[in-house]
Amino acid sequence: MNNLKIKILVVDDIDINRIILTEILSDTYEVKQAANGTEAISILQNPEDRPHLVLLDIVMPGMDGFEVLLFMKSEPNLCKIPVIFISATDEERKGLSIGAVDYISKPFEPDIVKLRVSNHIELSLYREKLESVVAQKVNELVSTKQLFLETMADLIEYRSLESGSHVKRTGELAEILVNQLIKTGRYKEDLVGENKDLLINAMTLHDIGKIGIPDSILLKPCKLTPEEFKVIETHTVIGGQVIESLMLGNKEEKYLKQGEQDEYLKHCYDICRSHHEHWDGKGYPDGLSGKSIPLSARIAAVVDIYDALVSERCYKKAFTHEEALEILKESAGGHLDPEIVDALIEVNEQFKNK
Amino acid sequence: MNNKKLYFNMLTRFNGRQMVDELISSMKDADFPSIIKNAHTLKGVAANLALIELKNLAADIEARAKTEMECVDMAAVLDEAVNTVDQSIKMLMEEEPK
Repeated sequence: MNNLKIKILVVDDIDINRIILTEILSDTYEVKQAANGTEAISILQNPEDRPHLVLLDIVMPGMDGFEVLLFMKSEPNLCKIPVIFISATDEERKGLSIGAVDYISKPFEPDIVKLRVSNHIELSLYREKLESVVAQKVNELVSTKQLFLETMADLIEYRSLESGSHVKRTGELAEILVNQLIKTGRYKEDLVGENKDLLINAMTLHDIGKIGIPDSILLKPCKLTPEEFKVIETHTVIGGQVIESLMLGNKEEKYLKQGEQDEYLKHCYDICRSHHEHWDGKGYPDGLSGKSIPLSARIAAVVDIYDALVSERCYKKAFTHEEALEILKESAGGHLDPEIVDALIEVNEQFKNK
Repeated sequence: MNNKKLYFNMLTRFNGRQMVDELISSMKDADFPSIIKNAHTLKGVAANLALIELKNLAADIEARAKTEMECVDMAAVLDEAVNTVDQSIKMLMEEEPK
């Protein structure tokens, strides 16, 4: 632990016991003392005083040792600090079963106390290090995945020569739209908390499946034949497959915020595969309709279509914002989820400025 | 501080008389939860100071109280034991001033 001195907290209501332990341990460690459970908790809750190990008496007036340990186990910041019970009580079994790492009985044998303490500190530092290395590696892996996905989205954009900032704008427009949906209480339960940000981030990946479309079709400067259009349609399925292969290699989530990575990839998958589904069931690839189309894909569809309308394409001129709104209104309930189109119309001024 | 010095230091801090008085008082009241608590504390401290007789007595009393057995008859022995300890500590301190 470098030059940082390892701290030990001794909790005992009898000063003689505290002094003996302090005397035994103070050569090697920085020892703090608490005369009762309440005092111990207040020391534990101060991050600067937080010890690496606690020596805890069981029988104390007020809050006893068991209660202190149970409290520690309930606190995420404290639950990993090793606790050794020091007691003349024969309650070894109970102490160990509720989570103490060891038990030292009175009278104290200085050498044994020192050895037990140093063993447990070594173990706990080792575990701490291991956990931080694992967490770091998992994080690297996750950000690599995210970076990989974003890079792919960028690649498609370079290749298909669509409007330069289409991908980025898709994310921004989706954010405006999602905020309006939340504000007006639409699809509230699906858009709570972190889910919203994950969904917006995933939005930029909607076209990554285009990586699998041949240049001759993707870059064709005039209208596509029906056969060629069939090929273009496969970008939804290809995109879904790309995300799926990432989901399969994804088993490290327990070190992440619960389920976050899963949620993110799930949104990515839904958006990639289903952003060309139509509300009335006439879209592709699965012919889903209404609310059986994932919400994230329904939002992506609205955003994608708006952006395509107001952008110039090799086969069409750019529509004005007002013209695009009219077309969206006509598509509500047919091609698009009417509630989401309504939300877009309510905030259309913000879209216009993007 | 070496071990011997620490031990003397601890012995001078030992307020055995007070602990025993509290214990005897709870024994006279047959207040079993208090007996258990007081005997337990005395047992721990006595053990740490290697006051074996006192430790054994305290352990007996604690065990009896846990089964709610009358233990006031042990008061006299206990009183005598702590007197012996107090006197021994006094003698020791006179022999080896700090």
